[in-house]
Order: sequence, then structure tokens, then C-alpha cells
Amino acid sequence: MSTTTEKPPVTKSTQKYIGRAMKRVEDPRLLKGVGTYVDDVQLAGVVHAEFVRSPHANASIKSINTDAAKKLPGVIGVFTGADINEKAGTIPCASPLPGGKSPVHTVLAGSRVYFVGHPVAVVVAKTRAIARDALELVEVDYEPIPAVIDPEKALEKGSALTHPELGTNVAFTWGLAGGDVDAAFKEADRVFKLRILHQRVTPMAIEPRGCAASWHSGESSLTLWTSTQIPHLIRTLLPGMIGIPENKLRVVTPEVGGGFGSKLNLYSEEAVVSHLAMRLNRPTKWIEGRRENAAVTIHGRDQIGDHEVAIKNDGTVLAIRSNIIADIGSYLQLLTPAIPTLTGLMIGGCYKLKAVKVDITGVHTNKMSADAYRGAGRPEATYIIERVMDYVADELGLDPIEVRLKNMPQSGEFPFTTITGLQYDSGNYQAALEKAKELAQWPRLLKERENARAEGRLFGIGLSTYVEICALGPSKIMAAGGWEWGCVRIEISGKVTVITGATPHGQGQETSFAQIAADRLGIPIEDIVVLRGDTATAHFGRDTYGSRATALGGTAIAMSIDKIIEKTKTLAAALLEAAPADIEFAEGKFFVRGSEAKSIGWGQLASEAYVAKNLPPGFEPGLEASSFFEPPNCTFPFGTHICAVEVDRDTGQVKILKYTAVDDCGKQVNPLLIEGQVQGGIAQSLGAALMERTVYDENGQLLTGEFMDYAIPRALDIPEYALGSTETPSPSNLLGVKGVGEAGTIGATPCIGNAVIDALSPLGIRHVDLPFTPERVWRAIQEKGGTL
Amino acid sequence: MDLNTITEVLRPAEPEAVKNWHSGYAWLAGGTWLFSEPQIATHTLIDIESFNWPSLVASPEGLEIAATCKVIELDRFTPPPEWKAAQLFRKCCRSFLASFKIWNEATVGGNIVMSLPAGPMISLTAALEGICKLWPRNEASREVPVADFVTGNHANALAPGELLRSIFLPASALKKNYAFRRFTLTHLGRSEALLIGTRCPERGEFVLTVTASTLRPVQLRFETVPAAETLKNALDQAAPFELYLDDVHGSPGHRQHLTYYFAEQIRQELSA
Repeated sequence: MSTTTEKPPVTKSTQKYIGRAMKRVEDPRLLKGVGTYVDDVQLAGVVHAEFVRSPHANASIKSINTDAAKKLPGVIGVFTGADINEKAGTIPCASPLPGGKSPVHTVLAGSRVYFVGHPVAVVVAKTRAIARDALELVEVDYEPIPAVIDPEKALEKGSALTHPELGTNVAFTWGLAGGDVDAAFKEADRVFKLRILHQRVTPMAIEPRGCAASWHSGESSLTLWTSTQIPHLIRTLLPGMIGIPENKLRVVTPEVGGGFGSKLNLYSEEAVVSHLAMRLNRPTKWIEGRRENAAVTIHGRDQIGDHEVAIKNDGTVLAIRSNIIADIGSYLQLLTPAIPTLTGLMIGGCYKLKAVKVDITGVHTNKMSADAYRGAGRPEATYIIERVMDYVADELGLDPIEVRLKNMPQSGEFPFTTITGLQYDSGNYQAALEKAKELAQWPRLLKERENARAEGRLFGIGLSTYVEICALGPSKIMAAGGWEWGCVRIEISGKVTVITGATPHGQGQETSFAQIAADRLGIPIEDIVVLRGDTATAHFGRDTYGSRATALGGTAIAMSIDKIIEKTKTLAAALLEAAPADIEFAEGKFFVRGSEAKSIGWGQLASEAYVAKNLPPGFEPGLEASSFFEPPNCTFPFGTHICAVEVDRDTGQVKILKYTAVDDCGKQVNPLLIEGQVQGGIAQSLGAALMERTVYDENGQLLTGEFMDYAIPRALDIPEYALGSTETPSPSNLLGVKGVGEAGTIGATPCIGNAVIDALSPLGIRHVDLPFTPERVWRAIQEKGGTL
Repeated sequence: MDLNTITEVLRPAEPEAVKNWHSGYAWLAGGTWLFSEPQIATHTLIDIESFNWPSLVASPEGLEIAATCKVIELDRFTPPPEWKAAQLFRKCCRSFLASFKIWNEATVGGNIVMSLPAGPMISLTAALEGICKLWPRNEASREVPVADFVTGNHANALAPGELLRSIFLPASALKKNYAFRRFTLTHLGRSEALLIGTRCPERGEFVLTVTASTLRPVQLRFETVPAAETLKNALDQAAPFELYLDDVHGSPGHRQHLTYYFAEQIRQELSA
């Protein structure tokens, strides 16, 4: 893989930090192997938990015999649902939909198991090995029941029920209507239908989950170390489950080896381990295995959509009517119902539709729960609308770019209110598209395609012009608050400590937040330390997901700095014997307006502020401020991705020849981090486009439970990238940033999909289901006779 | 992983020390598969690395590869220049869905006795007309061609307690011209099809070995490079549709197609 960036990163030392491509301060400790992950946490007297898990997708439990396991030397205890469930609460869902029907989600199975891997009992032992040995000795008598696997069949009358007590497999329905759909369809020159499947995928973070809990009996408090994206949300949700006050729980998130949404959850294991630490008064640790991770950490996507599209002959897309079935698996996890609703909200993409109607049905099946996976609902929406755009072009014989341009709002129309009711903050979609064309050398690509087709080769060009919803979000749309918190402290030495509640976990915000603070305070970045991931330090936070950390967490830090500067002006005025109103601040110095030569820096001011001998009347000692930033709106990053592919007609294999991405994530704090996010996102999206799929057999057995069978792209599978950007600041925060964590995963799958279909179009192929594995592509070619 | 059913590990000085073979015994070499999943029926491991067999013994007659030879040793082996087909060693060693850590421990014999369709050491040694030397318990040793040794998905010719001692690759095969084709979903992924063709430069004999796409190796021999139709017909005879593997890496239909496709490519390449 190689990457061509639009322009080399500027790293002149005189440049402001914001906008500089800086290497991550996090990297040295990670590269040297001295970072601390949960499994590295050493606790004196720790005991180890392992879970007995169901081998069946659907079965009743007739009996559980733990006697033999309990007798194994080194085993401290074996606990079943009957022992624990009433004391460890139920797994919360933060986004239940009105009228929804879902089962009580106990931390261990009760009288029935509902998916392969469902935890049935937990063994605690002196060592991990003994705990695993003891698992084999727990005898569970299961009575298997036919599994509900196909979500469409699950909706048929008379279908077996995943949860019989609910009387239905429908977990929820959700509808969205904007504009006059019937009128739009009446106005249409043409109507076409598309059926689009988004396969289930497995996040497969390199570091599986894990947690350790320590009960401090003297203080009656608990510390939980967990590999999560959301320590603060866990601190909000877990106390009620395990029966301790919130202010007696500390949640620590050390390094996290990949989350991608899969660690945006409160899982059974976290509650059980916390409960056991309290119950046994012993530090207790659990580390997830790879196969466990594939089976019992949430999955993503898994939607089936039937879409009806109304268009005019000039390429105007008038309306979309969609029926979407979301296979949500056996239980609701934290955000399970919310994910497909994001698909509905974003289904119009970056286009001015007249009407939209989306009906979503969430269906329970005997699988692991589906929940947020990088992009979470938006990749599905973008894939749908971007396939629609290409389909329209194909149907009408128009240029796909012209169709897109025809339907996009102009830059002057922002803020732009969509037909689904969202207000896109800012945008210039045409500029990103134009730049991507330029970077991709569009005319040359067209020529290459022409030449290739003349030679009988299956060469395709695809593009996607996407918009996504990020910086989630105003509190009014978030179950537990959508603000973010930050704190800045000028230490007595003049060094600066920044504390964020956003809990970055690999995104590099120890670096980018320091860049923001360094510029705003006018100090060297080396003087700043960014703390995160510990609720005892970061007192508040709503954590990292939905590409929110910089837009919200960064803004909270900037707000805090502004407060400190204003406060410090009073102190500087006293020391400079001037009126506070005459004090100015620039480049880290406070001075009397017009007398810049006589200035005071942070070092002297901090010392004065803490020693507190010369404080002006009413000046509170110390230089620290914190802020909650409540955003007025989400942000809406956008961009254009273009790629060229060639399909081997003999094997069906797709080769990506070149990949171009122009992303607009608003103001750029650190272009190097942005590039890394885009690269990683495209890689995951490429996996979803070409190879990744989570497969259950008809009995609900997971067939893709390890890397041997679950294909993810390796470095050799990643094509050459050409990356560029446009910069359209967001008005929703004072930094103007939008977020970029999911851009690649949202833009790339439809781009690759459109390219593959374009490559196959000379054969008359207009649709292939995701992922475009060689076999599926080959079969599509065979069905068309395989000839031009 | 820990094998919690194991109660004893034996390290005999020679195989003859294991007189009586019991249910629950398992030979242990590299252990990369053995320790990768629970072995609930196994209680005793017999470590054959204690036999100290020389990993690779080259002679004018060919190459004897001990069952305990590490994959990395085979990968690094420097063959005589006239053994043109020895270039397949590296290609097949890199056809594992495995990291270098596995290469360092996994053995050639272990991969063969695992007898999975995508075992690249099976592909290699079958294509190079390897002969398995088998040591039954308390009986005289016997020899079985690798192509016949693997009888199905995870099935082979070993009797209970019988030990794979070595695989002998004849120099005549190693001197052949070869063509190699492999198909995977991802680079370094598990093989969906792995075909190797060889052709004797003197006599013109053509041998096609199909692995990974089929449940067991399928080997076709022709006195000279056959016509395309002849080759396809022979494939149809030797590998009926039911013999093609069906798993998440590919369906029988796609595997059969790839087999035809690569077989023809190999035929053409070796015709030149």
C-alpha cells in the first residue's frame, strides 16, 4: 500500500499547532510495548473469571451441575444465573423505541439460552488456567430448540419465536416520513426497485474485551478497569445494576486495542466481574478470548432493505420508499434499536429529495446482538442512496456525476434542512466532488476504462458522495446527554494538564487535544499532558463514539482555556498595575494594551495564582477551569470517494487499482491523524465490500468465529490511496471541526460497490449482493453467460 | 490453549518404546494445532521431538523430510540447483494461513497428518510425488504416496498409533518443471484452491495435483501434456462434484470452476 497525500504535511516549527501533521505522543509507549492494556493491570490477589457459554443457539436449560467444578483445586466459586442475576441487574438499552418488545436481558442465562456463546455460568479460580479447566466440569443439560436464524422467515406467520414470551419476533418498528411521498411518486417519470442487503459483520478488534474489578471494602467502593469506549456511561449505568452508589464506582479505561463501536456497550461480563469482586472481596479479572470475541461481542450492520425510488427523466430523484428489516439478534444491547434509525435518518444522503418514507422492523433472531459498528447505520444509508444514484444514471443513460450534482444542495443553501428533518450544518459537496475528480484524474480514468473495455476487460469506476452525522450530539437526542466535558489546569510550575471526558482510545487525541491547548494557551506542546480514561480524573464525560471527541471534547477544552485566560487577566492586571479591561493576551503572554514589551507569562502567573500572596481582592487562588460543551447540533462531514477496479472474469476476484478519497471533516486539527483515520476506515470498508461476512448456519452455529474463517483485509489487500481534503468549518462548535473517525467506512463501501457494478455492467449485471466475494461476482457473471 | 484433559506427557527415546497404543494417546510434534482447541478425547501426549530425527536429509536420490521438520526449516532449505521444483517449498510454506510464529513451530508432518483440504504441505508433497514412511505400532514400516495418504477432510491412512516418520521427495520429481496456482479470498488467507502441475523435462510426463478445492488430493498423471478436453474429462472422472469442499471460503461450484480454470492455465504453462 502506498499513500499519496494532496500536499505534504507542513511541520515548520513557527506554524501554529492546529493544522500541523504531528506524530502521536501516544505512539512511543505503544510501539515500545509499555502501554497498559487491561490484561496488563496487575492486582494483588487477583482471581480469574471464565464463562461457561452455550454451544446451542436456542435451548432450554434443564439443569446445571457445578459440583465437580467447585471441587477442582483452585476453584473459588462457580455461579449460575440463579446465583447472580438478581444481584447484577440487567443489561441496559439506552435507545428503546416506543412499543418495542424485548426480553429482560439478565447477565447470565436463566432457564434458556438464546445464542451461541450466551453466558450460562461463571467460574472463578486462582488462575486463568484452572478457571478454564473448571469450565469443562460444569455440566449443563440443554434441550435444543430449533433456532430462528432468517429474519425474513422470522416475520412469517407461524414462525418459531426467538423469545416465545414476547409472542412475536418483532422487537420494534420505527417509521419516518418526510414530504408527500405519494405525490412524489405520482410526479415520477419512472419508478424502480432495489433490494439491498448489508451483511452482518464482526468488528474483530485486535484487543478483545476484558475487565478487572477491585472492591475496596474499607471504603465500600469499586474500581473497574475495562477495555471500553465509554467509562463514563458505564459509571452511570453500572451502579444501579450491582447496587453501589455512583460515587463509589471508579471506571478506568487504560489503552484500548480497537473499539469501532464494539466497545460502546455495557456487557454482561463487566457487570458479573464487578459483582464477583464485591461478592468475593477479591480482585477479579476476565479477559475475552478471540473466539469469544467473535461470538459474544456485538456484531454490526445486518439489514435487508427493499427500496422503491421515484425519479424524473432528467435525473432528479424525487423520493425513496424503504422497508428495512434489521436482524438485531437475540437481545437489545446499548444502542441496538438506534442503529437502523440512523440509516433511516441519513437515507437521503447529500441530496435534496422531495419525500422519504422509511419503515424499519427490528427482528429478534438467535444470534449475537447487532449494535454500533464503525459508521453505525450511516454506511448502510450511504450504500443505499449511492447505489440509487448510480442506478438512476444507468437507468437514464446519464453520467453518475451529473446525476449527483443535479440532486445536491448548493453551498449557499446551508444550513440545509433535509427531508428527514436533519439540519446539515455546512457543506460544499460540489467542491469535494470536483477535487476528488481532479485527484483521481477522472478523464484519465475514463480513458483507461474505455481502453480496458475495448480489450474485453472488466474495468469499473465507482464513486460515492457521502455525508454523515457526527459529533453526537445535542443532549435532546441522546439518552444520557450529548454534551462533553473538559478541564484545563495550569499547574503551579506553568505546565498544563488537560483532562478530557471524551475518552479517546486510539484516535490520537492526547496529541490533537494538546495541539488545541497549546495554540490557545500559547505554550509549547511539550508542556501539556492530556489525561483521559479514568472517571476519578475525568469527572464527567460522555466518551467517544460517533466521531464526537474532537468536535465536542476539543471544544470543551477550548472553552475551559478561555475561562482561565479571562480569569488570569485579572491577576495579570494586578501584577502589571493596570485595569483588567486593558489587559490583552497573545502568544502565551499577558500585557497592557500597547505595552507588549512588558508582559507576564503563564509560569509567573501560575506561581502567583497558587502561592496566593499577591492576589487581587476577590481572586480565587488557582488556575483551573472546566466546561461542559452542549452542542447546538450534530456535525455533518462529507466527501467524495472514487475508485477504479478490475474484475477477473475468470475467477470473480475484484482488484482495486486506485483509491481516491477527498474528505471534509471541517477544520483540521492534525492532518496526519485525519489521514490515519481515513486510511483505517477505508480498509475496514474495503473488508465489508469485498470479503467480510459473519456467517451463522441454519442451526445458529457461528461459522466465522476466528480469523481462520473470518476474512479481514491485510496490508497486501489495501490499494494505493490518493487522499485529499476540503475544509468547510462547522458552525456547531468554536473549533469548526466535524469529525472523521467513520468517514472512510461510510464513503468506501458504496464507492467500491459502484465500481464493481460498473465493471460488470457491460455484461448486463446491475446488482450483486454485498460482499463482492469472488464467488458472488463469478456467479453473477455466469448467470449472464459470462460474455460481453 | 491449555489442554486440561492431559494427564501425562511422554518423551520416549525411540518410537519402539511406545509398545501399546491406547485410546486417548496422541503424538505431539509442533503442537500448533493440537494446542489450538480442546482435545477432549486425549489424555496422553507423546512428544516425538525427543526422537531427534534429522529434519532434512538430501541425497542424490531425493529429500527426506522428517515429520518433525519445522515449516521454517523447509522454507529456508537451499536445494541443489537442479531441483527446480524445490522452489515450491517456499510457495507452499507461504500458503499457510499463519504467521511466522506458526512457521517456527509447526511441522511438515503435523500439517500432513491433520489432513485438512487446504494443508499446504499436503499440496507440496503430493505434487512432488512424496512417499510417506509410516511406522505402525509393533509392525513393519510401510510406505504410502502422499496423494493416497490423505483420504478425506481430516481423514488419512494412519492406523491408531501409527506414526508418520518422514516424507521422501524423489529427486526425479524435484527436477521437474512446475506451475503453481493458488486462490484465496485475501492475501495470506486460507486457500480455496491450490493446484500444482509438474512436467518431466526429459520424458514429458505431466502430473496435476489438485488440493484445497477438493476434500482430498486429486492427482492426475499423463504421459505427456494432455489436450484441454482430455484434462477436463480426467478431472471430471477423478473429482466428481461431490468431492469439492463446501465451507465459508468457497462453494463446491466455485471451487470446481477454479480447479478447471487453473488446471487449464497450468496445462498451457507446462506445454510451452
